[in-house]
Amino acid sequence: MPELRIIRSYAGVQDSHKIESYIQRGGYQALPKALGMDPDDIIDLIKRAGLRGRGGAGFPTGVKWGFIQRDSKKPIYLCCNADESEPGSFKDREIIEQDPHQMLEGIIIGCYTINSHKSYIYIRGEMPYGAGVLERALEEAYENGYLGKNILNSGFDLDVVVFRGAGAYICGEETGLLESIEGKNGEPRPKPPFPAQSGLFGCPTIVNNVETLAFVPHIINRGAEWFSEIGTPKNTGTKIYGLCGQINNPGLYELPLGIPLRELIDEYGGGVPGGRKVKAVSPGGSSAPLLTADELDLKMDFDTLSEVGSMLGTAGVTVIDDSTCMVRVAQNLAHFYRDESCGQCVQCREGTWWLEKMLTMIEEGRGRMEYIDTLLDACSQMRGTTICALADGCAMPVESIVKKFRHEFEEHIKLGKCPFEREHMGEWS
Amino acid sequence: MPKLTIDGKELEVEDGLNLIEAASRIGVDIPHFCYHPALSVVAQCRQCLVEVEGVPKVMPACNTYVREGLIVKTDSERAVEARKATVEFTLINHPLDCPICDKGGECPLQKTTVSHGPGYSRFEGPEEKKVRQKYYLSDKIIYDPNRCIMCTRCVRFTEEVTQTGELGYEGRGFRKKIVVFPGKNLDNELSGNVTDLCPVGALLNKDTLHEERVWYWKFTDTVCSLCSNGCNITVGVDPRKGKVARVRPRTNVDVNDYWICDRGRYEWTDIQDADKRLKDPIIRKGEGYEITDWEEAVSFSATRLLEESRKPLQSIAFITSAALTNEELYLFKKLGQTLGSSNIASSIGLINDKKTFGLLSSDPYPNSTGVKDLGYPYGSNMVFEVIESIMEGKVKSLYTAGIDIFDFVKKEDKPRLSEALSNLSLFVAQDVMLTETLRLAHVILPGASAYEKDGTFTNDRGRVQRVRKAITPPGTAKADWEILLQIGKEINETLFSYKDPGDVMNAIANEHPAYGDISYDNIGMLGVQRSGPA
Repeated sequence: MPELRIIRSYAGVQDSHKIESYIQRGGYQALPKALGMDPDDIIDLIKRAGLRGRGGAGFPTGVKWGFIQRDSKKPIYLCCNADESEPGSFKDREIIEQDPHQMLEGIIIGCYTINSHKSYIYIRGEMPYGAGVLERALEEAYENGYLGKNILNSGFDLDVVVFRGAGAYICGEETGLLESIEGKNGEPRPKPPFPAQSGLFGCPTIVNNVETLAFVPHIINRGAEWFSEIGTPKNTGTKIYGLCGQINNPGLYELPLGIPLRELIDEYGGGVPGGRKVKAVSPGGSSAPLLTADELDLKMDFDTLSEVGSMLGTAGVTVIDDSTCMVRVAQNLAHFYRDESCGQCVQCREGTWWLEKMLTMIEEGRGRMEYIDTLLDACSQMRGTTICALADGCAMPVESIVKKFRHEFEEHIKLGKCPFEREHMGEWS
Repeated sequence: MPKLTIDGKELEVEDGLNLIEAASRIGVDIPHFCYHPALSVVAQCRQCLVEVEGVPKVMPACNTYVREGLIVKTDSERAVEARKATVEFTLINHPLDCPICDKGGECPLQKTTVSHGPGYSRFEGPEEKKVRQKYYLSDKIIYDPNRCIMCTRCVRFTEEVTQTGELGYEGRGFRKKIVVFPGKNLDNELSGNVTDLCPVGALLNKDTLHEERVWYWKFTDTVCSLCSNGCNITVGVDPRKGKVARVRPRTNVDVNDYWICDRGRYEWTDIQDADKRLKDPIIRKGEGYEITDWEEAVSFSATRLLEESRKPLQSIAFITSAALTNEELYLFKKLGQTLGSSNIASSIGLINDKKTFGLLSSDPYPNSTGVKDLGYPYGSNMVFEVIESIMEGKVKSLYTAGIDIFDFVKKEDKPRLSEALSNLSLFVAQDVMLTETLRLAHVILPGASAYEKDGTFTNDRGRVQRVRKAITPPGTAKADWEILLQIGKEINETLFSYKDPGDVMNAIANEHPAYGDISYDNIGMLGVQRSGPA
């Protein structure tokens, strides 16, 4: 089965990042249409299309836009979250590098809808190439009258600025991102107030993911009904799935939401190399609780995964084969979150550190049996008790690994060493 | 006024209150570290987690505000377990070195651990904890990053209260620590407050580092005497040493909020310098000085003052300063009037409302307003005039209390003043420390500092506040009111028949309508406003 390419129309096209290529592929046709529409109708259209945020939470985009009080006396901002930092996720990066105008058109339509005249694209600091592509794309858009004063003679003004991050995972959290743009340490804010009331510089702000915005022009062009018929009733449209880890054909695949995980791995990913078997799958970036080989028939959409206690997240799928030590996987994850915790909340700052410590001790054969329950208890107290979801992002996968692969932990402790050979562990090492 | 329920109790409170404040109204204490009523809410210590009906997650009480119909449970199993877990997390990298930590005994973390913590730790031994180097944030304050729980109260204090922004944090996650911002020094006039704000032993005062244990201290609630603002303070005294160990702000939102300045906190120590203090009465006999007892000093002073006052063409002057309490100023003036003096003066500071951080006044006296209120001919000019009369030889005898009159003459006039003072037929001087003036006195009467006596000061906004005795003056030194009362009694028993400063305040209230309603019974801990303009 081929991909269902809506936003990945750039794939295989030469110089797809240039404005000519985008226009040739039907780009910038939604913008004049949108500029002639009532913003309420655009919001209604997006709501009817059922577009859900592709950044991980799956929040309905139309509803989010509807939160903005468009007659606010303060300026309104739209920030495009291009800080894709989730291990296992690499979809936004490709959209930015290959087809920046697509998301830019989405940004312009979004800004028009919420009455914003300034937009920031917050791009991850480690993506200098993408930032350069975006800068050139902005120049092209200004030259062609898609940005600046009186866009396409509609009377609507908009400036877009590329803001480069400085290397913090936490700046992908929307309020951490806003703090970072304001020149402060990237530390999430306590909510309420939510960004729609008080966001960037204390003004009403919407933060949308790159992929979400890239869908907007297509929905304007082809209508809500077209979009809502793709995927499942509550998970409409396509999703760019990323495949990585121990898999034969890693890469990005745009497919309707709700595709079975097994089909994704076997048909598109070409299965696990070396004739080995799938042992676990991280279905949506490193924060998602892991699935076992028994759960491969699950549908890859927001609701199905959430029902089984995992999440679709960014749909960055990491496949782990049976040669891999799951304690090591958990340790690696905890290590990442320990380093990326902003350090505000104690459950996160100390919790991630403690998890990493205990997991390291188990992995190195210094653990004790009671650590296993302590790990689970610590994870449960890290979930839902902090300002942002980073602690959850660490606790959830670790907790799922401990629960689903408890026997490996017990084996480590009984043996006093790791039973797996290091050289087979690929990128987790 | 929303109505809500906390732990089954209904209450009605004003809008805009958070759950910590609301709960405190009904005596429910929700533990917290990062929240402080004077600072912005950051909700990052996560110690104040409570359960709110209808909300799936436990909520930080500091960032959850009252609203109609809210049902809050601070004592549900989930809330209790969440707070217990928070304590366990907080202690993971916090060294359990309470026995050698200056904060021990008054540490919010220690208290919260006992009252809300799990009572045990599942974390492996101390050798696994992260260890980092301590360093000084200023010449007064040391920082221990190991104890720091990153509540950022100190950072927010310098950002929001002093707005000087000296403190920030460096690093992320478990590497985070408090640092002085590059190119800055933590030297604002309120910097010491961060040591009170710190809910753990991470920020400590260098001056008493490892020297004091707070549980020995006795606390006296009093008022700072180092400027005209009259900040409310609590003085901690180790009774075994009989010395002030620490001066701390006492919350009074009408005067000093939650803060005091570094002068009030650190720069009172000279009164405890045994070498500088006068300890016993001294009488000059011929060329030499003789230490004497109070009986002799008082009767000698009283007899000689009476003698002088009875001389024909007597010219007796009384000079004091706004460093004295209202009661002392009243007695001093009354003494002068009883002896028929027409030269009664007191120095005062320049009263103006321009204050550094709203606290530090340029008027170094605590009671300039009291001087004016008690009918002293005010203005420093009056003091200059009397001193001029002394230098001109018009004054034959002099009584000073709490003032070094050499401070009021130019350098070139000092020899003239010296000579004039040497020629006086009687010079009685009362003060706390030996000054240039006192060296020329016939009788030296050792007084007490504001930490060593009872009385009242009237601050620059007309608020009458109590000072209370925290320590005993050195040697046989006495409170100034007591000295004045004893001499007064020798001169006229009935006119000076007061029992104590409270009694003197009643007399002030009788004579001065602005103080009409004021008595020691109603001044209370936070003082009262006297009537009339500030």
